[in-house]
Amino acid sequence: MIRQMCRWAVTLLSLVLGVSAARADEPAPSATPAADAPPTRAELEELKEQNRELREELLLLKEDLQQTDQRVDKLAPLAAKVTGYMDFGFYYVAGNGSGIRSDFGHINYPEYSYIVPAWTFMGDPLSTAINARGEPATTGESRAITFDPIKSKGPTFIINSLNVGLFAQVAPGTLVQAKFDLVPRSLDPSNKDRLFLADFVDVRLAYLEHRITRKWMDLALFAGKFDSVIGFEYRSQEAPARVEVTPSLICRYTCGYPLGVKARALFADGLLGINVAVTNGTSFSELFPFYDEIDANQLKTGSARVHVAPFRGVELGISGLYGAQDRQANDDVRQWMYAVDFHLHRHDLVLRGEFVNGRAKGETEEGMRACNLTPCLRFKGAYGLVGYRVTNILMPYARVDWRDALHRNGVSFVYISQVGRLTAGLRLNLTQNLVLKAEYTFNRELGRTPQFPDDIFTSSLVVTY
Amino acid sequence: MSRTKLSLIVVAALATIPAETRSAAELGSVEGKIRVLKDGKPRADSSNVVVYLEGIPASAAERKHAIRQKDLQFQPRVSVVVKGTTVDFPNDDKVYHNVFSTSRPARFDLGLYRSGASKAVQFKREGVVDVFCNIHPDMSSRVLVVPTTLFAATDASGKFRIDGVPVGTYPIVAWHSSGAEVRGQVKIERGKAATVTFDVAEGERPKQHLRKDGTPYGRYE
Repeated sequence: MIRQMCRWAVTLLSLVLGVSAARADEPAPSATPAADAPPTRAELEELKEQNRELREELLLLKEDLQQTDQRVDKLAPLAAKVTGYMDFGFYYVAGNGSGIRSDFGHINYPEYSYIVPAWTFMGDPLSTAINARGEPATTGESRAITFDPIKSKGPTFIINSLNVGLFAQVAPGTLVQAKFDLVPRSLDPSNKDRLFLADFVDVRLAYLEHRITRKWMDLALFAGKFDSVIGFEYRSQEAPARVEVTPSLICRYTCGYPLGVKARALFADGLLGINVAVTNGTSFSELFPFYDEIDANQLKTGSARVHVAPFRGVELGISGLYGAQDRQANDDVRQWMYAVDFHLHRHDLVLRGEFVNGRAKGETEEGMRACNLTPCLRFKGAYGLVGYRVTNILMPYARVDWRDALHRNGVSFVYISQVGRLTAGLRLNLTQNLVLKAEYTFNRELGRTPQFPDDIFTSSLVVTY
Repeated sequence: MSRTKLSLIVVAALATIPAETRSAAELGSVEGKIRVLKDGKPRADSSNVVVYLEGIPASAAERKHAIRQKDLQFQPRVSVVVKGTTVDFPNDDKVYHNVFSTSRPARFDLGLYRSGASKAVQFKREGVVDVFCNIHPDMSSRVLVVPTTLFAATDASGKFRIDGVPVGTYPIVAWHSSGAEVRGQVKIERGKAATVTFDVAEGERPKQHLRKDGTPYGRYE
């Protein structure tokens, strides 16, 4: 339509130009005797000037038409836009690839002697994460976290994910967005329990967004499966955006994709922001067993974050959630957490820190061991990240993270997770669409847990499309 | 509109007397005061208003201007250039940028380019050109393309003065970087300074814009 209109405009102008140019060559109409006289030099000059102006305008219109054609060609396929990335990796994890060990003989934690020794776990089953999805090399003998799609300490190449993003503008200010990972993993045909999924699809985002812009506020309303509102790390958790290869130890609490409704309001041009969500479950990641995409109880989870951005590139936030504990039916069993975060991105420096603290209360039958009906979790954790863009391509980074958690379920199991890690890595932006990252993580057990080998080397080549 | 205070850069080198210089006896001046109104009340700072005259075309001399990309911002955020000026967009950041505009007076797309590289566009038409980066939504710059070298920017008190104006009667325009514009007429007499006073109501710049392909920016970009 636009193209057609522009063509008409050019045609019309060409006709006008033609008439104008022709008139310049012809005698003036003979309406009056004076008109029979040949045009004066001044008149001819004026016509010449008009002609020049019209030609100039025609050239500009032609340029416009060319530009419009380019835009139309680009916009035509945008009824639904497809984006995404492919994340290819290589990793090796020391030891058996797992971040946990059993406390055989109850040597280190005798207070849990009522639990089968093999099910008293020391360490963190997700601390040997090898990719941006947070998947560990293996969960080892873990009982609570049994989803173990990789199950190899390496060294091995791996397609971490083939991510596909769909976008469509269904009305002015109203968008539909979806993102999913296609995850190729091994199939073990000999596994009778069918715990191996082999290749699988992980739907990360699927939501409708409606944006309302007012003089004093930008409001976005969401419905569906969307980003968490807790902390800051969730914003850059996908492989192309993440500075590092792997998530921090606390990302499991803040990087989930809850399902429900959400409102995000920005005031004073982003100086103040408020995010509020009502969701089925927490903002925990799906790998961690305190998250329920489809709710099992009636009480929903409320979460919110308030941030201030006093300067460009600086943001301070406080967030929290409260609701019924996930994966159980009793509404009286509650779960809560809060987080504080700090983010600075100025010039070529990225500096970020987050702290979380929370608890899933669990449920205990009278006279029985703690948390025998519903698992309990108490946790604290933090991380600090610094990265500096040395050149157009090169960005070294370092991260320190820590997690202190106790996760137990009657006599079934207990996880005593006191872990500290130091990660050092390099990020190479080879082109705008191609990023290569490599990092080494020193994984250290804290408290009474003895050291065991579980350091991680991992790398990632991310190409976006 | 960004919280960053806009810095209006007048291309000083361009604010010269036109090539068709006339003798001093045929020239006059225009001066005056512009009040910037916000919600009907005068602002304390009335700077960053551009006043220019129409009907006195600039010579075809080659003119250049630069809008740098540094710290994920365009610098300056607001510029005034004479029609025909070539504007360079050097990338001083260590990340890629993609400068583009869909404004009618100058539609262009410079594509992705890295640190140290620069691309240029000639602004051939008068009007307001909003320039953005296709990757970083916070980057925006506004360019006013004027037909003449006879323009001036107001100081904080709103005062301005344009010298070297040929005798005659001309349309005069006061333009605020928010997009508000007031028009009038001024009669220039030989050797005298005409006085003009305008009130410009500050407008609102659009808070959001789209990428070059008409789609919104990413979730957190």
